[in-house]
Amino acid sequence: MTYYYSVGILICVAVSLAVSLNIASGYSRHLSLAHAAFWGLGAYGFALATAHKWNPLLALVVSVLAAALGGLVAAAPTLRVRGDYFLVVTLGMGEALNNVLVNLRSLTGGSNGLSNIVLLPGVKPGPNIDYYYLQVFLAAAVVMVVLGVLIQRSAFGQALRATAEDEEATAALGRNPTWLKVRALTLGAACAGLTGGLYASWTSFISPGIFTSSASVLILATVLLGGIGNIWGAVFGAIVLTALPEGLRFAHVPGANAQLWQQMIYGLLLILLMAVRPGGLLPARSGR
Amino acid sequence: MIWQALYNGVVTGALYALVALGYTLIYGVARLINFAHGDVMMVGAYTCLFCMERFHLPPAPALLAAIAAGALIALLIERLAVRPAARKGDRLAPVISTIGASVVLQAGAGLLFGAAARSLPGGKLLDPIYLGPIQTTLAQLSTLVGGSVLTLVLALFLKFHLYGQAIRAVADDPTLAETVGIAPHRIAQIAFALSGIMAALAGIAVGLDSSLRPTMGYSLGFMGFTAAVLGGIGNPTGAILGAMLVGMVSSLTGTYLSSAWLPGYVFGTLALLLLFRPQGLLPGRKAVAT
Repeated sequence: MTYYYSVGILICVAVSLAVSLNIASGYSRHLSLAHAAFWGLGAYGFALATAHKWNPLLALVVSVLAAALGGLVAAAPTLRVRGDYFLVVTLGMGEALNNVLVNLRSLTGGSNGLSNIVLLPGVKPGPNIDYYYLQVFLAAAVVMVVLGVLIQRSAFGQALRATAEDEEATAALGRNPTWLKVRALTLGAACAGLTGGLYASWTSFISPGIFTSSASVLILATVLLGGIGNIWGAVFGAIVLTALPEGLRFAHVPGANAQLWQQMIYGLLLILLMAVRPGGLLPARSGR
Repeated sequence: MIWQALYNGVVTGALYALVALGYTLIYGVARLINFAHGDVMMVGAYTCLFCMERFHLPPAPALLAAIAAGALIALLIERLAVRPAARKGDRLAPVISTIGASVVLQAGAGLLFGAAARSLPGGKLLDPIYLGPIQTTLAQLSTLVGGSVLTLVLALFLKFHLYGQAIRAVADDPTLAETVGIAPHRIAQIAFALSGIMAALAGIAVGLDSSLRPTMGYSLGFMGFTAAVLGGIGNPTGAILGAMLVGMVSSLTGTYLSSAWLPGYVFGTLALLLLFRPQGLLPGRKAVAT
């Protein structure tokens, strides 16, 4: 049973990350490749705060703030850089942050990472941990989905979509496109940070190898596979892409190479899907 | 020590230029960042290793086989991943397809060759040579000379050859190019094949200098990609300038500061430059909003 619980948790983590990236980038179409870095900021924020004997709930606030600050920094180049260049700048930012995590050994433990991270209050170590955390992660994922739906329907979401269509026109209508994008990126990053804090407390071990640019690429691919600019697309994409490798495990794929075969099928699926449905599985409808 | 650092910078720059030119050529004709470009390098390097180990080919035919494999894989990426996804006019879909291709190539290399690091048998190529205050190897010299010659040939091709001019025409204005009878798909294939050839050679140069891994394309790809953007993506001269800048930054910071912080320094350079010149050093293709 705990196996299903941990798969459930991984699905919730994937959903939270995809939905938060969709908030940060999906409507404004300023695609960020630094999302795993925000996730990592949240995780390291939690681990370091609890290592200094802070209350875990207070440490979660640190997670959110650390990631939001990261999002604010990442949003700075939107003042000048557009389109593909933004993709590159955020990719570089993610690489640079990973570099910091590896090199600041005294603080982050270097590439060995940090271990023995504390559990959330009220959890007793034992076989029921995964069941408890599944509820926590599910609640977090639901909150983020609701937040996403609210944004999608709000004037804020509409203005964000308008900046993607035509920045000058949005500015002419009295909305500041830069400020809109900064808010979206910061909010999305904060959500990723919360996910990171919870993740650190669940696994009790984090290292720079988890929060890499390849992880950012996978999160972005999840959003695009599901359908960018649509919360339900992000949710669906995350469930499919997390459940798929787990499903392969039951198809008796040969042992040591199983993960590579999973990757292979995952890649082929991406190529195939982009040829058949370039807008993703659940494309965003316009005028909503 | 300064001479050695400058020399290393030029060698690294020549290597990055091969990679950056590939990104920039493809961006010019297809308006797309090819996320699988780094993996084409990996395929080239492994093909060379495979031919030498399994078929006991001498280095020269193995090199040719690697070049052929690089061009072939790049063409397959264009035909099977990029073109079908671009058919419906979505700008993001082909980019995601190349991410898919990258994942497939890395998994395939892992299945065929295993995840452990390998190295190309360099033999005499790796013996130290002393040129005044500079220590080098035959492999590094060939990277420098080969890279420069190839870059020059490419520049001449783009300037004077009919197909080179067609590549520039498509990069400049695809619709106008089509009306004068240039087939964009044919031109895209030529650009992908050229980028594949250069990537394979870069992969072999890296394989001689350090090691082969299925994921080796990632860091080299990041450097080449940054160089292309620094120079103004879509502009070949800019890509060479950007590559030299990144090569110098890597070498000088590695010698005088610390090589552990390399990604940080390279990104810092990129961030500073883009802050003051959002389009890169030289005017490139105007980045289209995604």
